[in-house]
Amino acid sequence: MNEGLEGIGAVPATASSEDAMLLARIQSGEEQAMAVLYDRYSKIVYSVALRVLRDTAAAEDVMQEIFMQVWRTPNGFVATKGSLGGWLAVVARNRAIDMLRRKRPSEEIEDISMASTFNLAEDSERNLLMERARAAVVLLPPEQRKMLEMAFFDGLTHAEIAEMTGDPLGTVKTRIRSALMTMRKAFQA
Amino acid sequence: MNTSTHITQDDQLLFALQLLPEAEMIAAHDHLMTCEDCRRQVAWIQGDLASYALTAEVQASPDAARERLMRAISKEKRMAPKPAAAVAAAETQTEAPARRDNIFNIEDAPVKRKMGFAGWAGWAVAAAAIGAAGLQYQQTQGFQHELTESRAELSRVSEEASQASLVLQTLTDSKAKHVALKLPSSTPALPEGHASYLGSTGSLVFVANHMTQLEPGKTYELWLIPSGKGAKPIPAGTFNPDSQGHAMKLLASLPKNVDVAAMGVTVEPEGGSQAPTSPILLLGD
Repeated sequence: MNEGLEGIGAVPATASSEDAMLLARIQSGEEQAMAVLYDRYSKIVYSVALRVLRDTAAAEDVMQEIFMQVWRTPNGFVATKGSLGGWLAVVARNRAIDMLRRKRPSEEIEDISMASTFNLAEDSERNLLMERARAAVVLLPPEQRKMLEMAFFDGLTHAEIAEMTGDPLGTVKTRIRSALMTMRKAFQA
Repeated sequence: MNTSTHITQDDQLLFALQLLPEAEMIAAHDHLMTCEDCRRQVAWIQGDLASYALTAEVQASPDAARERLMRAISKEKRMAPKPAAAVAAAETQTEAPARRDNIFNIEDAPVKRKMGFAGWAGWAVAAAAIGAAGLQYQQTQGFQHELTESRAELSRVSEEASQASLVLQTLTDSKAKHVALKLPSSTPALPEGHASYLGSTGSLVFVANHMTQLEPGKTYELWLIPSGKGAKPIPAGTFNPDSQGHAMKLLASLPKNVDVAAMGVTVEPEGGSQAPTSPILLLGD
């Protein structure tokens, strides 16, 4: 099982320790550390929020809210919860969906824990992983790709997707699950 | 570990996507607190979703966003937590005065004994303590004064916020009756919009009336059109009118200090566009 847990873009220990050190500096109230964190991850956070909201002002608001949350409670993320960059990307998506649906943030920010430990701190590594993710998505069957996009970036439930596409609910579930499994395998390869 | 009612695979995915209904979300959360198997599965899915998130087209955040964040952070300065060693040292210092009292205890000194260095030191400590107490009293008074002022400020801000909230609710509540007053006329009312942009805060309020309902998959989008030849319109939010043709939009974080020459509204694909893709429907300058 541990083999699998480290499968997704496993990285040397020094990579996540960089982020851990950064969070420790933020915890001690060092503003410059927040600037470093912002420079490292703002593109990811903003891009994901913008992809969901398609509104630059709203995406900036989401990004601002997330970084302020990190500033206020930096220990909301701990190293055992996987990749900081990945965590921020998922939080950005969730917050953006909340905004899209005009509802209050539903999740405790600390509740997100992920098995993947890929390192997005370095530009080169980040670009490599992005390329790999895009390549994996391109290879998905179009129906799977569309439904995963609807669920993740549009925040639609299985039932809503089934209604919009006219496909049976079971088919929708299977396709989304299969799409994610294909993504996982592509990263493990 | 609770293994009797595991979360189904579908619900694990919906939980990770934050798409379960609220009650089920809470139930799943409670289950995850006690079930390592389900927690591991959800962690896997979160990892998959994180990798999928990387497929979003990379966009650089606006230049001003970094500055905005750093300003906000400066406003919320935090005191660094004391390291354990410092806490221990502080605790030692709180114990020290008692021990010093023992050393410089004047009650133990012979009444007519000439004061030696220790005696003078005792008076010096006492004088310093009185001085410190006086200083502390002054500081306390100062803090109390600041506290009183802060409370008054808070009360004023709360009242203003309450009024602003009421205004906003009146404008945006779906049950509110929106009426455009005009000269009596038999001609049908035409779509119109009223926008106010405050450059110093980057905020904008937009109210539209008599807007036509759009076909599914389309939305109205508001644009700030900066002055200057060739300046690109800045997207200022999408909106869809209610059944009365009324729409209201409040944006708090548009680019600041834009020299706005005009504003316009176009019809765009659902979700909005980064640049207008259709002719301007409403225009004002």
